Amino acid sequence: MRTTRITATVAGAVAALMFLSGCTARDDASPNTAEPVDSSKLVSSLPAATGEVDEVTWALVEGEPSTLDPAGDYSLAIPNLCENLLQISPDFTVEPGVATSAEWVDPVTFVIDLRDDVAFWDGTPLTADDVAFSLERNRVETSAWFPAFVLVDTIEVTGDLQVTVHFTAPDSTFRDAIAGAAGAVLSKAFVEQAGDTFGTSTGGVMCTGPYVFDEWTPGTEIVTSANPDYWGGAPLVGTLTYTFITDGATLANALLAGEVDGAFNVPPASRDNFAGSDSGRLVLGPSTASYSFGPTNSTGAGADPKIRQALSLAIDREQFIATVLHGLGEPQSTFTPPFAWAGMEAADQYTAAYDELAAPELDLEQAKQLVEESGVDTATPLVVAIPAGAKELSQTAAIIQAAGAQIGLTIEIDERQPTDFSQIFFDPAARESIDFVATVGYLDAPGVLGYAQQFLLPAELGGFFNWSGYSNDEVTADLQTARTTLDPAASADAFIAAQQIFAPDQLQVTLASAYQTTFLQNGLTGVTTSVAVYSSPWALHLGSE
Amino acid sequence: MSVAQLAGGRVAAVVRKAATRDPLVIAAVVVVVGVAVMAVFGQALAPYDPDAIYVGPVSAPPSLAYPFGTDDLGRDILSRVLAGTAPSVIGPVIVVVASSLLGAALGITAAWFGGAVDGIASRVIELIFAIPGLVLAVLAVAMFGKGLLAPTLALAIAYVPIVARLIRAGARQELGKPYMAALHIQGVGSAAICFRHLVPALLPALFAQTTIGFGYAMLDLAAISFLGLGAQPPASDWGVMIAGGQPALIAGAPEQSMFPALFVVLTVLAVNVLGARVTTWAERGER
Amino acid sequence: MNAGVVRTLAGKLGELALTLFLASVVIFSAVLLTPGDPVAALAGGIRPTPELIEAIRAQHHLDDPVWQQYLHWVGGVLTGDLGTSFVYKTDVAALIAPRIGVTVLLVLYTAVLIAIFGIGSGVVAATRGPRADRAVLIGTSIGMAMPTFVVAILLIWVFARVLGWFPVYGAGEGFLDSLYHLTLPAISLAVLYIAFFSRITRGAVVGQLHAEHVDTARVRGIPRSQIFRRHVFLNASPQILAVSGVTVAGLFATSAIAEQAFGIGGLGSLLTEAAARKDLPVVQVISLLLVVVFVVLNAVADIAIAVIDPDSAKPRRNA
Repeated sequence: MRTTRITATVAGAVAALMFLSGCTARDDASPNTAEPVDSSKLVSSLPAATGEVDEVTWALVEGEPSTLDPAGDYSLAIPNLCENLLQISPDFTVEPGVATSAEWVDPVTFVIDLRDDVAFWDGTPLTADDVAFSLERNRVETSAWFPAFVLVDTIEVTGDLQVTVHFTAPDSTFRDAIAGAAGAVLSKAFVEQAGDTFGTSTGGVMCTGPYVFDEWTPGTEIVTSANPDYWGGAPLVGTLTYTFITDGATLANALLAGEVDGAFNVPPASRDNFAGSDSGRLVLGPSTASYSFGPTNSTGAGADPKIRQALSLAIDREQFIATVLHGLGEPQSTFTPPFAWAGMEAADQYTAAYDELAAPELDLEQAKQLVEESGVDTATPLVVAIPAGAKELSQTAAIIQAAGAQIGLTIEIDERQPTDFSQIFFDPAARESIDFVATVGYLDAPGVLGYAQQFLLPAELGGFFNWSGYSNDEVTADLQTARTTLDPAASADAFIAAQQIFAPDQLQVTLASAYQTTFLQNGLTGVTTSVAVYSSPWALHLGSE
Repeated sequence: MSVAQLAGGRVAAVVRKAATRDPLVIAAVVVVVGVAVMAVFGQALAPYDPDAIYVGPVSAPPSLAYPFGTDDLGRDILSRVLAGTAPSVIGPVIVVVASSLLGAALGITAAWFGGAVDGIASRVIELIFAIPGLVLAVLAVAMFGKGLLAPTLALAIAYVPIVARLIRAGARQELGKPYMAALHIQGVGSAAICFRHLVPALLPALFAQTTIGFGYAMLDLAAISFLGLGAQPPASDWGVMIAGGQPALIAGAPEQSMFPALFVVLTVLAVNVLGARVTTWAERGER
Repeated sequence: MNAGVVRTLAGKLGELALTLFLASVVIFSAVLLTPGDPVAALAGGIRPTPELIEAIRAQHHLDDPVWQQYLHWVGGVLTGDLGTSFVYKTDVAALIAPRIGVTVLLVLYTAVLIAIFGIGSGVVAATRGPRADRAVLIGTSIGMAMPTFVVAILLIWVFARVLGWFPVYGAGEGFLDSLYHLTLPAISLAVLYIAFFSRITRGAVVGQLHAEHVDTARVRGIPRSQIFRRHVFLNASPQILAVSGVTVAGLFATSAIAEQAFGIGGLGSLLTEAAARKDLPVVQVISLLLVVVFVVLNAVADIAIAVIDPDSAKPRRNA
């Protein structure tokens, strides 16, 4: 019987597919080990390389930058090109860099002395003029780095290699800030000549970093090469090419196949594949990155601290870390991550205060009660916005949704394309239709005040993300004191006093801190593997073992 | 017995005849009925809440408790496949129904009036045919944003030419037959000829094309969801599940992608088998 | 070349131009039908000042009558000025140019696979007895239900996880390395079409095997292989060619799926990405490009059919 046999064969083929798909034996018992990592084993940098490498291809998980202008976008390609005045070491301490010294000479005067052997890629020497220009460029209200300059009165060139910054009040955060991109050094002549095209694929950039910008093919790659005249010694890598791979599965494939030499922020979901790779290795480092969600307007349910507390109580952090981070992170008690102060003078004080904060816990009964007390209309769904394509945040949103369901809150997920998502941050109208925004945030430079100022102060004092209208005079006063007190211990005391008040209000419901993940092919070494990659030339010591 | 009844009876006879002689068709019918049941009762049949996370361990392999395993958030894949049937099936249904209606109207109009009307209709058909369905769907997404509605409507338009061409050719052939002239002479009204005689005669071919079109529409819509342009996570649409399971795939947990993929393949396979058989029998029936 | 062929050619060219014109109008009108103001997209997310709005409207001719805007767009496309991407703020031409090569290579590779395995298995099914026929029928039944993305994930799983013979990411560098990299993507694209071509070829060849002229040739004692080449296959080829144009053109669109799955930076992945980000200028240009490819390839196939079999030039399909 012809037809019967065809039926049997088709059925057999389908069965074979089924067998292939689900019923094959696993290599290991579970594909998802989410074992916790011993945080004392975290590595902030790999040993410096000794051998030269012609070409290294690095994948940028954050995708293609919109610009290479350090003031315009966050891209891991930028720190190797454009240096900041001070350097951030992998352990998050601040060291001299282009500036040999940058110190307070009196409570309102800050003097920056520059190295005399620094040149831009085109050979022109770096002068105080360039530095003053670069700082002024960030001291405009539209700049993302403006908060660092709010207390600055004037910036003055006081020598060929000296810039003096005059302040209206002492600023304990300024020195750390100019170790970040707020202190990025650009060529004045080049920026002025390039005009609007500065930082774009056609205009390029002109900086002093260890790698020289060569070519940017939009949508494909950015090519950079070793700066032979770098003041810190030429890098060992001849050509460092950046490709853009935002899809986690694609990135994991590319890394495991050896098509790409390395990447930061690799997807935790592929932890086991990375760990089992013969060709490369996964390195875990300390980070300031954390997963959190916070309110977006002052009228919705998200603005009610009771709702945030309730959601916080309904989310199992251990489960979150095991599922979303595959064990590559740890619980965090407040939005300011401990690594932010790891390199600061008053680190012990901050740590002691942090340890006293209530750790997040799971308590559904109390959560339900808080929802009831809040009097919020639970029939209206709450909307959580997340950027599209980020698997971890999509999972985070699903977890928030499930937590809401358990305590009687209906939560909807609004996945937004990059442009629509970034709109949330500068357009109040875009925030009206949503209640929360869930993000992964990180601090690119040391300092404890960054988040606190942005989330808690009134808008006119720097509370750019204080969308829920949080207002507490005591907190405001303490935070202002912390900023304008140059003595580290006294500044820490003021911050800690504020933190004790604001932490329970959960202006951000912090879900976990994530370790810095780096995947690097065997044979290569020398990269920074802590969160310092965002603001230091992390590929300076890259090369072969 | 009128022509309409003859034609109408033919479809049923074709299916009956096919089924008795061909077990493959029986298998295909079983699958199609199964999928239809899943589409209607999927949510109710699901052993767990398809959107509930941590109903089991995360990324667990298939077991008695979780026959298809669980996904990266500990959701039950079987429940999600069941709940995902309706959204995965409704789109293709809309595509084939809309494109069949539009295509048949266009094809019959062109054949009926001929001349300039036919010329214009043929040009419209040519034009739509020149824009690949996937491209039209992607263009719709670029215009109206992600989601299944815009691509579904775009595909409905993109599928019109195939139906229109088929119906136009069939209608011309039918209109050329002697009985049509006889009906005219008998004084039967145009509307009556069209709807009581012409349309029923074209139904078998239309039915066959609709069946085949369903399979293609399902693949196209699943592809659009796979590309991230259609249904959005955490929806339990099959295409979304296939795409979402990719990281797990290389981590050695293929079931997150494979089970929804299996259902796409099975459904399309069954529908294709039915479509091919119905076409064959419809053609033989005409001779 | 006889008169029939020339007439077909001229007619084809006219049709081609008309279809392209109408398609360009449809694609252009996407801007008009899109909800929201294009100025907002062009301003790139920042809330534009009235002066900026003014400048953008002037720069992009948004205040001109619609037909002038259309002429400006089409004129630009014809002269190589493809407009500016909403997202990248660069020339669309600069975005597209470096990506065409890899997509063309992928499509050609796929077409070769389809030709070899699709036509090959069709011929086998038609000529090598019922056993082979049945085997091919089963294979094609399954193949026709195997969409690109399912084959792609199966291949990725098998090769990334189990075998590791072929790379599962990227397009490679240099011709041979590119072929090596594009093997799995090409297979994933080809499977469905191989099944489809196999069916078409089988049908066409079976039809010819029983044709009168083939029987005559057999009686005249012409060798089997020659009969097959000169009588059966040549006469079956118009039916195969008729779907070839549509298929190759369709591959340019479906390559988006393989490119996405295997991380290849080609035209298709750019189209997908641009659609996701609502980068309409890029989507429009790529769509138009794909339509041009479609129309031209179809015309080429029709002409080829007319050359092989001048008779077919008169009763054209659906005429």
